[in-house]
Amino acid sequence: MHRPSLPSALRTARPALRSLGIRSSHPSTFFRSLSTTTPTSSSTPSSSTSSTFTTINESEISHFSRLSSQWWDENGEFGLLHRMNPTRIEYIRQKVAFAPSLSDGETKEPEWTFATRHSDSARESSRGTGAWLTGLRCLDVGCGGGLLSESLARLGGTVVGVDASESNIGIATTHASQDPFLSQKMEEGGLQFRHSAAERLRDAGEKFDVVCAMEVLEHVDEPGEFLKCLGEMVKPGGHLIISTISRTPLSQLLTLTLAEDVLRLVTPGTHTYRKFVKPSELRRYIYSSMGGFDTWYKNEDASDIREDEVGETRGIIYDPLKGAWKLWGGVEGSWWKEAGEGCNYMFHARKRV
Amino acid sequence: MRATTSTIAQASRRATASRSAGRLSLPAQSASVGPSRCLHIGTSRSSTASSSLLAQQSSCTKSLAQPRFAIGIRGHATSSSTPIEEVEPIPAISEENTYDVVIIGGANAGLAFACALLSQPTIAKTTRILLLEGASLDRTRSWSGKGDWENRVSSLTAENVAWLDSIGVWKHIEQDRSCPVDEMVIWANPSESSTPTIHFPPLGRPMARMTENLNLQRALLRRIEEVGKGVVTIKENSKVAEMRLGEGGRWVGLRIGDAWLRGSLVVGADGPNSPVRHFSKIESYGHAYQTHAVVCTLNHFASSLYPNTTAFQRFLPTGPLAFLPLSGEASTMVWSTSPENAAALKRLAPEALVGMVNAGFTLPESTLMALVEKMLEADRQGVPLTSDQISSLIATLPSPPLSTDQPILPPNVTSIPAKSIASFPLRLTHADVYLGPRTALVGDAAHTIHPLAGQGLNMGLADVKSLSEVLERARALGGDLGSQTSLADYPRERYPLNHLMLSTTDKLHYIFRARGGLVNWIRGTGLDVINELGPIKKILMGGAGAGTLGVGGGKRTDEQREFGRANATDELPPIGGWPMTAAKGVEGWFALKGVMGMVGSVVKEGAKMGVGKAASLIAKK
Repeated sequence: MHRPSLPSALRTARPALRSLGIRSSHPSTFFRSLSTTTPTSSSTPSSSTSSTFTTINESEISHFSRLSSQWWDENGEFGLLHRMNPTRIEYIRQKVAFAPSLSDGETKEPEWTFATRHSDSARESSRGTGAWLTGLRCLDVGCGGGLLSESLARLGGTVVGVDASESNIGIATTHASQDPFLSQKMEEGGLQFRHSAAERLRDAGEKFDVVCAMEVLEHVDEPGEFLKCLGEMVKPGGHLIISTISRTPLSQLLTLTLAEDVLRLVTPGTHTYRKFVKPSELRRYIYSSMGGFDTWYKNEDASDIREDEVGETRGIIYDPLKGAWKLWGGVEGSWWKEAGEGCNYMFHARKRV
Repeated sequence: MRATTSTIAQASRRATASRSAGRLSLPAQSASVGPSRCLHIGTSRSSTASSSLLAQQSSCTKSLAQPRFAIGIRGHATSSSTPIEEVEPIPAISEENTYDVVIIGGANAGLAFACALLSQPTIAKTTRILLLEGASLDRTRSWSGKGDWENRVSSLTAENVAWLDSIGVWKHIEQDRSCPVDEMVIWANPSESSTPTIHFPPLGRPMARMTENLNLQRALLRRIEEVGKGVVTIKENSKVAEMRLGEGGRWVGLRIGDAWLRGSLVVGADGPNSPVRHFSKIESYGHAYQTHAVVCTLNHFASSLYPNTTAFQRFLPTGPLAFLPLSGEASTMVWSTSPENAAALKRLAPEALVGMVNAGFTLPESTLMALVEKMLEADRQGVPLTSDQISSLIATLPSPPLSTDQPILPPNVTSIPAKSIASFPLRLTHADVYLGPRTALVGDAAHTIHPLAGQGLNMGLADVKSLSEVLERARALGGDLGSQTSLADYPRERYPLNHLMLSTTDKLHYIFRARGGLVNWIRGTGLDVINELGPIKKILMGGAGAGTLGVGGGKRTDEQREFGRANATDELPPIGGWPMTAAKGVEGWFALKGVMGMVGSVVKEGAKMGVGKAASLIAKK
């Protein structure tokens, strides 16, 4: 019982898109038009299953290879990313550790009783403590220096980090091998760094419980193909978690004008405005081109009224006073929540069993 | 693991050597900035390399990447004054000797930190903690909780007592040996005619508890033994001979004797002369007060009128003299005074010291200062005053009549155990930062404070509480415990608060020492005003440790959540404050309006009827 799509006139009334000369905002159209207008795209998509095709953008790779030595400088180029890491993991924790267990199709929550109503919060606060990723196979696409991979490995996950830049993989391997705990985990195979494209892993038939692509979507060619590839690698019952940047005047101001051009917190040229993806585009694309609700669970919050969008997005903003990132709050569907997703945001969807 | 470590060590040594050589032999490369140098090579290779070179190249990148980290670490660890080439490499360290957190120092702060970490669920489930103590902990472990009082006693604020209770430590405290402080009397006697006093009355719950340090430490040790099995390892009699940052800066190696062990994070709870602080190259600033504190246990008779739960502090021109209750018949004394006075006091026979202490609390200031002069004079001649001489001096020295506004005074001291008498110098120090390369400072290692407010240990406990919460958050999110990102919140929480406390205490010390007409008047008036203003006093007491009363409240228990009070039969708590006043005002206004309206309408009706009747009468006529 899918709602008929909105009048196209309503959909196209998107100033940011129009300013880019993109007529239709239908997600698949956006993803396609993006790929054709990308001047740097060197490879042509022959087929999504072809092993030669990757969504890797060579100029992006050389850009990050140039910066790779700075991955672990906590006060340098990637300082903001270091501070963002705990907040991203907090989002993963809320989505993965708090998710109802699906082992026999039913949730394992203890029954609510009047007498134990006060212990709910105690039980909830004990969820997501300890090594809460134990037993889960995690993939970190675009791992860079391994910031996220190392944290996931420390939380007990069996982690594979892939990156298209060879020097990044070198840095990540060296850095992890110097950590007493992680070096042991690497020897046991619980943490691997591979110089590979996500597509090659998909073609090899690898599946994961948690697939993460943090700040990668805005750097690849053919984001649509890339998303499909990620989606295929998620095990049934597994999670797809993405973080990226929206395409709004706010993100233009914060990530490009301020962070790159004025404050030089990030090397200019790291981001391209045109390649940013809006939360609604991402959700609709996964609905329209990646199997919709037949493949992905519907949300269990107020956003379940969206008949043609899959997954949840959540803004993540930097608080310069605290020097930390925080997850944006707000009620699903409200302008407040949407305002928080105006720049960096997280996306989560869970695959059906 | 062993293999990896050693190869990395070799790689790094190679890299270090090649770097030092490279400066001379490769001018073209050394001209470019260090970090980017190895990268340029890496990039040019990766752009030209074909995939068949993959394995070779990654090993190359690895060795190229190495110096970059070594440089970064050298920046931190310039502390090791010996050149890196001469230092013997750290041998491979087994998994058994690898810990997540190494706590150095097994006194209050170190033990409390171990307990705090054990109370954090993720830390307790996923980490290995090592506590290193240079001496033996047997004396603490075997403390009987009976017999003579220790002279090292600390005041624990109500807030910290509540926290210790919540992490399961307080139940191990010998309760008979922990004395509540219900009231506090602070006074000075700067001139003959005035005795400005603040009296903090009982709140209904103790402001603080006087607890021997050994009592607290034994309780902490028992808690660690109770729940720390497999998580916390305690190594006694282990002095750290050397500390060095591991290859890549991902761990700190510690040498104890000939054995090495390592930790991702080293926490310095190792006291004012913290070796961890020296290793981290953290400077600390501050100054010595030209003051030593003399401490001893005071025996006295139990009062039949009131329990011995009042703390007294008298401010003298040489520093404060404090009387802190321990039990009905015993109290402890802290007399902060000039180093000469302290030395002379220590040389007195215990019986003579009894006389001096009693005089210290009761004599007018001018008489007391004259008595102290006599004591110093006799001490310089090598014949310290006897107790008889002191009593005759007190009788003969000119003494002004006592002013009428004398405060309540502590009970008369009858004896002082000789072996409880000790003294130590006082300093104010504050580390410039709390975090070094994979190190963090807590307690006295980070700051030392004048004891006049009794806040030294309390600040240390607040530090370990904060650090344990920060580490728990970091660990639950997969953070590397020793990284700056994980630890950043700890100084952010604690540094400003500690600094405020240190500077306030410092100013109080100088304000109360000063003597002079204007200062006396301002201070006297200020104290009197504060004494008369209940709310300010309450805030002061809250800040000074009453905790649960001050601003805001403690956590409510389940019963309180249920009934709004501790028991269903209790009276409902009175509601007050400005919201209630405002509500009452609005309510009163509406009532008044209603009454006025009713009265008005009655009057109106009456008038109408009157007019109508009058009109009909006139019409009839």
